[in-house]
Amino acid sequence: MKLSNKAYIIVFSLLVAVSAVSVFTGSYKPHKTAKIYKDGKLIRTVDLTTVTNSFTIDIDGKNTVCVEKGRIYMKDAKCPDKLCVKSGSNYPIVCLPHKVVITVDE
Amino acid sequence: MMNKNLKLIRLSLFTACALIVFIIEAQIPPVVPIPGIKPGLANAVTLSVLYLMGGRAAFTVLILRIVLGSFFAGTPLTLVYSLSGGISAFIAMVINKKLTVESQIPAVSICGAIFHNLGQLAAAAIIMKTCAVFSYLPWLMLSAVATGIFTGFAALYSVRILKRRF
Repeated sequence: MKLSNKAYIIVFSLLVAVSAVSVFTGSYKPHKTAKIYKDGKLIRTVDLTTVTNSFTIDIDGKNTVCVEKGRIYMKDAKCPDKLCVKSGSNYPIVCLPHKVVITVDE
Repeated sequence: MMNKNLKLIRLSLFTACALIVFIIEAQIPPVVPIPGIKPGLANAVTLSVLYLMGGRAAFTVLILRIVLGSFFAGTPLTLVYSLSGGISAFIAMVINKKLTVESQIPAVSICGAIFHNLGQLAAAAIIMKTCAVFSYLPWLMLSAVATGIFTGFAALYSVRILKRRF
């Protein structure tokens, strides 16, 4: 049995539509608690709404996390691509080389 | 029957070609701040070999390219992510090849790209022991369709030109 181009176009456009909808609906959520995971283990929880003075957290000398009121971001990372630094405050922040994940829950 | 030496030379050339594309691609700075988004042009080589020389040859080129590529241009974890992505993409492409004709290579390529990203996400979820990485899924699916079309047409035209020589 051979599949027609039409079948593929329908499946792919459905996939694109579903992805686009979840991308646009999922990005504007109020957030409160940040959780920092290293190697799958929760190492630190920060309540972002109660932060008054911004501070930094050092993770094994490899990642520097900066916490401000209402937001958290990767300030520096010791890896070549620095994708987690460039991703800013798009949650979750993922650092593949150092196995660090930062999630933010409501 | 294809000459054994000829086959060896062709496989080596395809592997070298895939490796060069893979390494050059790794040097391009990321366009979007999301891990795992890249053109995936090396897959065009795998796909061409799949259509020109069959599944076994394509699998050889794929595995050699990933192992050597991670060795030359990547961290140790690159190997794990690339292998899981590459093998799941390969399986998806072999199945889809059976369901299509040659002019539908772009569709096969998109399926490959989608399953490459799924395989890589699964590896990331296992390595980092969190399901949080799956929130990247919609972004990765959008990029897979876009880059899949691109590499698919690259493979289609390569196959059409190279077929005259095979």
